[in-house]
This record gives sequence, C-alpha cells and structure tokens, in this order.
Amino acid sequence: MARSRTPSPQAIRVLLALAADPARWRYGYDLATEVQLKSGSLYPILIRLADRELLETSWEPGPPGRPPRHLYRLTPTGREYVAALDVARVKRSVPRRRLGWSGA
Amino acid sequence: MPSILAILLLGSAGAVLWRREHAPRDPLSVRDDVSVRLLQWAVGLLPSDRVSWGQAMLGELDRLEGRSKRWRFAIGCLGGVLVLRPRGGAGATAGALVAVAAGGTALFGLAFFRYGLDALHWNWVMLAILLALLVGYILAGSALLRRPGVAGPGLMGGLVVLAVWLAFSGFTFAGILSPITGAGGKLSYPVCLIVVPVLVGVGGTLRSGSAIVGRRTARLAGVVAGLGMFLVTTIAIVTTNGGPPVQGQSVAYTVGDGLANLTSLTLMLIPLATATIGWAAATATFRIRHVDVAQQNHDSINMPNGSGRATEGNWSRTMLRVAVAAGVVLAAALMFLAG
Repeated sequence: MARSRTPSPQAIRVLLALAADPARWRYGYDLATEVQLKSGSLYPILIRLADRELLETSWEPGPPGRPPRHLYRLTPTGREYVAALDVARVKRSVPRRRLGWSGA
Repeated sequence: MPSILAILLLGSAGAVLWRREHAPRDPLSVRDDVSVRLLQWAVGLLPSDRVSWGQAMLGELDRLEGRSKRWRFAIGCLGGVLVLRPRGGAGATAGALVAVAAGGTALFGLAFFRYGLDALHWNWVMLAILLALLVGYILAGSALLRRPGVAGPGLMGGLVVLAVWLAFSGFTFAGILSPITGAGGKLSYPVCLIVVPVLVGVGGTLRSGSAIVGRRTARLAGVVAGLGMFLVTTIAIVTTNGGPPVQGQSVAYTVGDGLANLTSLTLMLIPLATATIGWAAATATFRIRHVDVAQQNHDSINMPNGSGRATEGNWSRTMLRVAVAAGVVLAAALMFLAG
C-alpha cells in the first residue's frame, strides 16, 4: 500500500510543472531541466508519483534501432492532488532566483 | 605488506579483464559509450518491476547530446537507482552488511588508537586501504543484493563459508586468531578457500539454473563471509589483546601484527577466494549441465538457450578460466602464508 505522506519540495516542483499543462505528455530530461532537478532526484520522484497513481506514463516509439522514450503526465487524481496542495507549501517549494547580475 | 598489495592488484586486474571481455551490450542502443554502459549496469540493479524505469532512463540518455551532459545524466540516474532502497529481505541484508562493517570498523578504530598504532604513518595508509575496501564491499554487496535471485543464496552461502571458518577455529578466539593451528589444522585452508567456495558456486548455479546467478551468488557470499569474519576477528583481537603474549614483543606490536594479518585474510583472501573459486565452479557447473542436457536432447531446437554468458565460447575457454581462477587463489594463498 502506498504511503500518503506529504510530498517533498522537489516533488511539488515536479507536480507543478506537470500541472502547468496537464494534458501534455512530458519527457523526463525536459522536465528535469525545467524544475532544475538532477536525473537522480527526478526519477525516484516520478517513480513514487506513479506508485501513488498521481502520474501516468506512456512510451513514444523511437526511430528504428533506437530505444523508445518514456512520457509523463498527471492523472485526474494527480490534478486533483495538485489543486488541493497547501498554497503556502507550494510557494516555498518554488526555487528562488539566484542573486547576481542578470543578463540583458 | 607487498604481498597484500600484490593480492589486491591481482584481483583488480582479473576483475578489469573480466569486465572488458564481458561488458554488457544493449542492442537497442545505437550509441555505446561509457555513459550508456554505466547506465545499463545501473539499470540492472533495479528490481524486476522497476525495469521499465531503467529503460526510460536509457531512452532519455539516447537522445542527449554532449559528453558531459550524458555523463551527468547517467551518474545522476545511478545515484537515483542506489537511492531506491532494495525491497524486503534484500534491504534488510544490506542494512545488516553495513552494521557488520561499521561494528568491525569501530572495534578496529578502538584497537588502532588504544595501542598507539596511529603513531606510524604507514598504519594510516593501511587504515585508508581498509576503509576503501569496506566501502567497496558494501557497495558491491548492495549492488549484488539488488540482482534477482541472488540475495537469499548469496547470504546463505556467505554464512556457510563463515560457519566453516568458525568451525575450523573451534569457536574460540585463539582458533580464530591462528586459523592454521586451529581445530582443522592445515586442512582448514584448502577446505575453507577451495571446497566450500566450490560448493557455493555449484549450489547457486544448480538452484537458479543460471551461471550468472551462480557467479553473483559466489561474489555476494565472498562479501558476506569477508565482512563477517572481519567483525569476528576484530572482536577476538580487541578481547584478547592480540592473542597470547609473545616474549620480547609488546602488546601493541602483537595487536598491530594481528590486525594486519587477519584483515588481509578476512578482507582480501576470503572474499577473493570465495568469489573467484565460486565463480569458476558456477561456470563449470553450468557448462557441464548444459552439455549433459544437450546430449539428452539431440534436437538442437529444443536445447535450452542457456541463461547467461556461460553458453558463449567453448570448453577450452571455461577450463582456461578455471585454471586462471585457481592460479590466482593459489598465488594469493601462498603469498598470505609466506607473508
């Protein structure tokens, strides 16, 4: 039975990124880049979200001789879960902009 | 001391040659660089119900351009795989291995400082090698425990090796500290270093029907037995101040000598012998069974495909490997006895 503990700030970032356009299937690397997570953090999060049935997955066939790509998006349960997330907690999970000179 | 380093180098060289010859290939991957191989190895550590996630990582890596980006992705995924705790008994066994290694290290550290062994620079080098070995065994054990069908037989095999060593010591600290003069006398080395590892390799292969699982069982048994004996011997040394006093030698010298000798036995010779001899026995067992089944089934279509790499090559290669394995262990044992 999956545990229903509070998600980590990193998991919330992934959930928010997926919820931004819930109908769209997302690639793992693009998602990792968007939420600024390393692959080693992203995949355990995706696995846990899928275990909790908040995430659905699909395969995109690759060109001949190439491996297929895995795709991710929120399930209806996942969308409800994101909608019910504590607003204050969500704000804390959003990464702050780094201090320093910004580009043009 | 050079003999210990020679054992390490021999074992490492053998392992590197073996990996080079048998590096896994994934026909689905067009690219075959080191990052792909690293990730393929990491994916092999995932439990069977998580394999699709490993394929997802490989699929993503295949689309990435740039060497550093691919490396970062593969190393990150390896970390992610290792973060996923092994399930059930495998997780508990991994925890037990860490606890045994930590217990042995704590006792070793106690003796190291209590008897003033920290005064010599060379002892610090040996301590660093010891810690590197322990970390390596824990990582290797953790990786092997994640392989399907290996945890139970490997743990059992390691405990059998450990039990036989203890039985030959007469279950006494004196016997543990002097294995060659224990209850089994000179018989203890051939039995513990050759006969029992052969049984582990044969048993692992027969139980699983796979040469790969048999070889992994032997490797895990080597890790379990080595760490177990390391803990037992450090307890014996700390409890008895290195054993019976020797005329003309200080207690610190006796303890230091005992730690060096028994650490090289428990963390080098026992794991090396168990893994190498068990590996050769597993390969030979699978080959013999394969030939036996092939003779019974003349129709080659009905022949079993053979689970693993043991079906590749021929008898001469197998016998060469067995001879090399026996030679490595024999050389290591001779160096240990001479040193």
